[in-house]
Amino acid sequence: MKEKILNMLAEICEDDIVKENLEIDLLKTDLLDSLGFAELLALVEEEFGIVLSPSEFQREDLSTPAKIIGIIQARG
Amino acid sequence: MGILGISYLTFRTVQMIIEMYDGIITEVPVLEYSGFILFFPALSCGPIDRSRRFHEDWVKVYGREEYLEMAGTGIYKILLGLIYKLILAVQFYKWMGFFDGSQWYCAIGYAYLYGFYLFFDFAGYSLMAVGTSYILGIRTPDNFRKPFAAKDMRDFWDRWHITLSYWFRDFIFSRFIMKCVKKKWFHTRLQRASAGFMVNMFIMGMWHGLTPSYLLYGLYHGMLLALTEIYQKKSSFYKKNKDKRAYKLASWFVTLQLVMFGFLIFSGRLLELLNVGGH
Repeated sequence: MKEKILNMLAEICEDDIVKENLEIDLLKTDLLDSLGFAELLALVEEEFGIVLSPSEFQREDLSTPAKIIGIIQARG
Repeated sequence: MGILGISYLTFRTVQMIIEMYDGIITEVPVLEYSGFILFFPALSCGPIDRSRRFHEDWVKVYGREEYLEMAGTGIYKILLGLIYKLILAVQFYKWMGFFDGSQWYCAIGYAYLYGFYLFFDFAGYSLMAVGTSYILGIRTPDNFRKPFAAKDMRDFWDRWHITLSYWFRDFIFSRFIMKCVKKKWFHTRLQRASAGFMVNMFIMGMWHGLTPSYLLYGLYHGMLLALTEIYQKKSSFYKKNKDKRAYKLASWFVTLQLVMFGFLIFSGRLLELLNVGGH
């Protein structure tokens, strides 16, 4: 699951650095904007059947690859 | 006869209905709900709070020190808001009167002065609303963050009428994009993003009012956001230069002009001038 999430994220952010550095700040680096965030939620729903609502989280709750994986796994 | 604050009531109610549908809101206590919907500092013109954020402050019991600090911030915001609204906005409004001719340079002057007037008027009001809620122990989110310092159009919407643009982001834009991804409605990400920005901003324009100027304002900003997205994703010039000082300065300058032109549309003045030119 972790690997799949990282692949999705790399595709959305168009940068493999997100697979290597799980603590990178996706917001400060402009890697994940509102658009990428929405795409991520849609893909997570399609791939794992886990429904996350766009207004459910603060952006800071999902600001690094590690945090994103954590939240999705907690729901899985 | 209108109902005071009906459009902002709608935002607060609709977001709760959507979040109930999503299963994030599971209970709605009557008293707290009424408090949230009718919270008077933000009743008529926002800022638009979120019910789950409101809940945290609603149930929180502040310590003496903590409350004093918060009330102090509240008073500061109210005073700053008064300066914005009663001194600066009024002054800019007066100056707007000097630019009521139909020459092109009048339009430019009008756009800038109207832009500053609108900012100080609305940001001033918002500061007072936020300040009042702080005194009541509710940390209503801020609505403006130095909008004229925006480095690009997307950055502008992170700084201007923030609670409205975040509302649109969370309840329209994100959901539209998610739908498109799941239904595979577009071939490329850029097409999808562009459509998302256009839909999002057009609806925002419609919300301001069903007049040609507001609709045009929505389309204008939708188009600018779409073009920004395409430019930033495609242009190697952008990728190479975006962190350079000179580029940032140029980008800020261009953004400010685009923003001010948007206000010229928003004020109704542009269409008025174009009509005058046609006769």
